[in-house]
Parts: sequence; structure tokens; C-alpha cells
Amino acid sequence: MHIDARELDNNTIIEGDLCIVGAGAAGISMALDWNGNGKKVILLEGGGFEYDNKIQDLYAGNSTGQRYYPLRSCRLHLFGGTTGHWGGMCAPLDPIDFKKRNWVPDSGWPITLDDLVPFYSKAQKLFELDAFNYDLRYWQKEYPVFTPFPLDKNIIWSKMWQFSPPTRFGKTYKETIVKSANIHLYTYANLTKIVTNNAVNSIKELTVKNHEGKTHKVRAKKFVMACGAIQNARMLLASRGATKKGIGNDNDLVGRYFMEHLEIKSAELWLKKPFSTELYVFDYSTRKPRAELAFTEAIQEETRILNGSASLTPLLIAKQQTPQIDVWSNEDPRKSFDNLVANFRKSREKNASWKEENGNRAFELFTRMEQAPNRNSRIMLSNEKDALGVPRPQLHWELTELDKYSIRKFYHILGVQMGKAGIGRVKLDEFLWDDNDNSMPDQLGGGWHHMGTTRMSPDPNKGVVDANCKVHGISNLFIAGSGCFTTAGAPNPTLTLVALSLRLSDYLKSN
Amino acid sequence: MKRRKFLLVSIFALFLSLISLWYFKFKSATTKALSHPLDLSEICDRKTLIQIGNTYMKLTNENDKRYLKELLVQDAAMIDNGLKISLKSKVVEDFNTGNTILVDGWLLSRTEARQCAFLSMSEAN
Repeated sequence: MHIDARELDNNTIIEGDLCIVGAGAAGISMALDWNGNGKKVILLEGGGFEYDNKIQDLYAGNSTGQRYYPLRSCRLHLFGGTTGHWGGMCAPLDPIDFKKRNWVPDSGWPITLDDLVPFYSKAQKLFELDAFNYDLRYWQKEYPVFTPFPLDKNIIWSKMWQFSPPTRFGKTYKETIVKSANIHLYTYANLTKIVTNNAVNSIKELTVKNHEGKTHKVRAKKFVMACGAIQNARMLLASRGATKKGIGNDNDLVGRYFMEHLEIKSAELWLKKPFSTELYVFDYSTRKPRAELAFTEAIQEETRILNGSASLTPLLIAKQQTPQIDVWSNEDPRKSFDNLVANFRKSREKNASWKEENGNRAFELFTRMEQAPNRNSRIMLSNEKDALGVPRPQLHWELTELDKYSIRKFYHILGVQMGKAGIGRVKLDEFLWDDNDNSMPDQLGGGWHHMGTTRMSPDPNKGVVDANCKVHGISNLFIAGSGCFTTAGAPNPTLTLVALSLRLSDYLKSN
Repeated sequence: MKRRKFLLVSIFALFLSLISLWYFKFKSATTKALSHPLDLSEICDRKTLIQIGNTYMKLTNENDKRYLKELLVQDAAMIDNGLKISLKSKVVEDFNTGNTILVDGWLLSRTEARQCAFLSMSEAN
């Protein structure tokens, strides 16, 4: 059922078994998993079903360090969350992403890929994807034209992607949520404070507010924060009552280890002869899967680099495109989104004949790489407050030498492999020429993927949540979403964050 | 007597001409092979190859044509076996052994980079 919190009497007390804060991909997935099970689920959403500028403004904040998108526009604050404008790219993390790697400081999850596989399968359905199978051989049966470059398989493999329509959770699952007997969706219920008991080992209640001046209390047996990595950290830090450092922050970890994906045009691939690149080149007109060039665990370990992949775009198109960080500069997410779409369209329309007669020979290589966990890359609180009195977030996005080294090394290896195979040559972009230059250019964008601010570790000195996404030291507070990622992996996080949320949901149901 | 001498001189001159022709043809084929990186020529135009060559010389100080030739033709057998093919094999071997260099952003085999340098010098001459 749906309740508009603006229409409730002031100081209403809302009670239930489980309270999920945030109705984005993570929150809605969890709520759907509880649909019809007889438990009273309170699903809190700060916005409504449609975009509302003053609600969106609650997400505004500042950033320092590496250039970043406006915090106001890089997420959506309404029912459905950022699925309202996401691109739909889905791929699971790789086994190596969960492992402790001695060349990647602070790597190593307390769970493995196998722990997530059953939940990936469930997540696939929510995103209207095909089977949970990301093996090239599987897809070659359906698309025999998928031919990988004849490269050394001990070094390079084809990382497959599937494409969601993309599923807009706010539209697709609205009816199910609203008609549910046990899911109580409250819109315009913005979390402004998390209140603990005096011993600070349990959550007592939440305070929610809206612009109409209404304040309500929410009480439940268990609470799940599913507001996204920036907002979750912000609210934990801002909820200073019995504890001065913020909730779950005894070890000064909340907000730290903010990670994004390193997304940047990095090189060009020039083929000697045209080669069928159906496997690699994204066709916007279909939902056909595609692959990116990725490196095996063995070569990552040998060369001590981060996990990443490279996508191919015909150079004729890519040359017309403006870096996405320059395009997504408007504080209004709708305008930034329109600019992004226009950027893609412009390049396609200008090059109606981008498919060369005998096949394309020149491609842009675009990097998608994990960011190394970095304690200094973090979400903090600003001195400025939003309209509901909550301190605004302050992002300091900081990269390390390992990030730059990994991108450079990636293309050196790829260049050697292309040469070895006699296929072609790789030309690195200028920012990668100097081995001693560890800076990143301003053209580096992220993927609008916020991860790691409440990282997972069995050790409270190293992470905010444990392997079940429970906040260390707080018996009934859990975090859902990519904030729990210990390392980022290379793929877009949406599929994984939903799988992780479904795993949390399963845990809560059985406990 | 004069006629016999004339014939001898003519035969000798013809012989010399043939030798010279063979020599210049051979030299031209050698120069062509040394200044023509086979694979890279299928990717880059001549202007780019020359630019790569110029940058390579600046990066390495390998800017003496005779020295570059020595580096490219490391034994006479290479010539006997067909220089073009030998150089092509050497390029593959470079990639296999990691004997590569980054020139103007291009990740190249050392041999093909030297061939570009040789081309640059030949053009300059």
C-alpha cells in the first residue's frame, strides 16, 4: 500500500517488522522479496513517483580532489531511484574481485563469488535479463557471428555484458508495491536522523521529515539503509546523538574508501585488416550482449594491476564524442541526461556510415576499471545544511598511483598481445605516455557508480559492515547496496548491489 | 688489333654495368626492406611512419644510418634469407620477448620502430 507522508498527521508513529530506507534498486528489490510473507515492511522514499526539484536538491553537495559530476545530479531522488536514468549494463563481478590481492591494499571480501551466484540469478529476473550466464561460448550458440580476436587466452578473455531494457524500477514495480498488503510504501518520508538507544548498540527509531513541515517517527525490529553509498554514509555520519562520531563510526571508517569506476578513453586499436567486431561493438538498436577485452587473473597477478576491461567503439564515432564528465555537468539530472543522450546521438548521426565498407579497422579503446580502495577517498559532512536540516555531503575523490599504473600497464599489455597475434597495433593516449606521471586527466569520468563508503569486513577495524551487511556493533542496522563493496570490480555495480541486497534479504528472513 | 681491344673493352664495360645494376638493385631492395615495416605500413601512412621514425631517433639517439642498418641487419644470413621476411620475423620475436617501445603513443616492436627511423633518414637524404 502507499501512504503519502505529507498527508499524515504531524508526529505520526509508523511501526513495522522491517524498515527499508530508500526505494531504489536495492530497496525495491528487498521489498519485493518480502512481498506477501506476512511481515509488515515499511519502505521509506524521500521523494514521490515523479521528479521533484526540491526533493532532488536534498542530494546536492560539494566535491574536492579528482574532478567529479555534480552530486546533485549523479543520482535520482524519487521512487525507483537512479534506475530512472541508468543505462542497463549488467555483468557480475569476477572471482578475483573477492580475493585478497597482495598488490591491492585493503582488498579481499569476506564472501566469495559463489556466495552471490544464487542471488545474481534472482537479480537477473528483476532486470528482465536472460539466464545468468556470462560465458562467451553460451552466447556464441545464439550469435555464431561472435568471434573473439585470436589473442592468447592465458592473458586476455572476453568479458560478456547483458543489457537490461533498462528496467525502470519506479515504473515496473510500482503497481506490485502499491498493491501489496504487507509492503507499506511511504513517499515524501525523508530520513533526517537515526536514533540509537543509550548504549548505542541498537537503533531505536528513525526521524523522517518533508518540506511540508511534517515530522514522523519510524520504529521497527530491523532497519536497512538502502539510500545509496553517498546518502547512507551521510546519514550515518549526520546522526550524532549518543555518539559524537556518527553511527557505526567508532573506527572512523564510515564514508571512507569511496570508490568509483575509472572510465576514460585511453587508446586506439588499429587493425591490419578488418575483423568482425560484432562481439565487441555495442549496437544501440538491440539488447544483444557484447564483450569487452579483459585480463585473466594470472596476468593481473603477474603485472600487479587492478581489474578492468576495455570496450571498442569505431573511431569514426568515438572521435565525435565529448567526454562524459564534460557532458554531465548540469546540476539538474534531467538536463545532464539529455546532454548525454544528445552526445551519443550526435556522433551516430554525423557518422551514419560509421560501418566502413569492408569492416572497421580503427577503434577507440575505452577503459572501465576498478579504483583501488583508498582510505582518503571519502564522503564527509559539509557545514552547509539542506532544506530539512541535514548537513550536505562533501566528497573528496582521491586516486592513487596504482590506478594510473594499472591503466597504463593494461594498454601496454594489450599492445603487445595485438602485436604478438599480428592483428594490429595499439596507440596509447597521451596521458599514458609518461611512466612517471601519476596524475589523472580531467577527462576521467566515473560511471556514476558510488561504492565502498560502508565497506564490508569481518573486522570492525577494517569495515563498517560484516559479511551479512550488518553494521558492526549495532544489532539491528543493516546496509544494502554498493556501499558495502570492499573492492569495486570492473563492471557496473547495479546487478551486484541487487544480488547483495537479495542476499541480505534472505539473511534477514532466516534470522 | 684495335677491333679486338674494342670488343674486350665493350665486354668489360657491359660486365661493369651489369655488376653496378645488380648492386644498385640489391641496394635499393635492401633499403626498401629496411625502411618498410611490413605490418605497420598496413596501419599507418608514410607521413606517420616518418614521424614515428623522427621521434624514435630523439628518444634513443639511434640517429646514424649505418648504425641503424647494423642493428637491423644483425647478420648476413638475414640478407641471404630475404631481408623482408627476416625483419618481419624479428618484429614478431620482439613482441614475444618484450622488446617493445612506446613511440608517439604507438606500442611498437623495437625493430619496426628502427625501420621507421631508417625511413626517416632515407627521406631526409
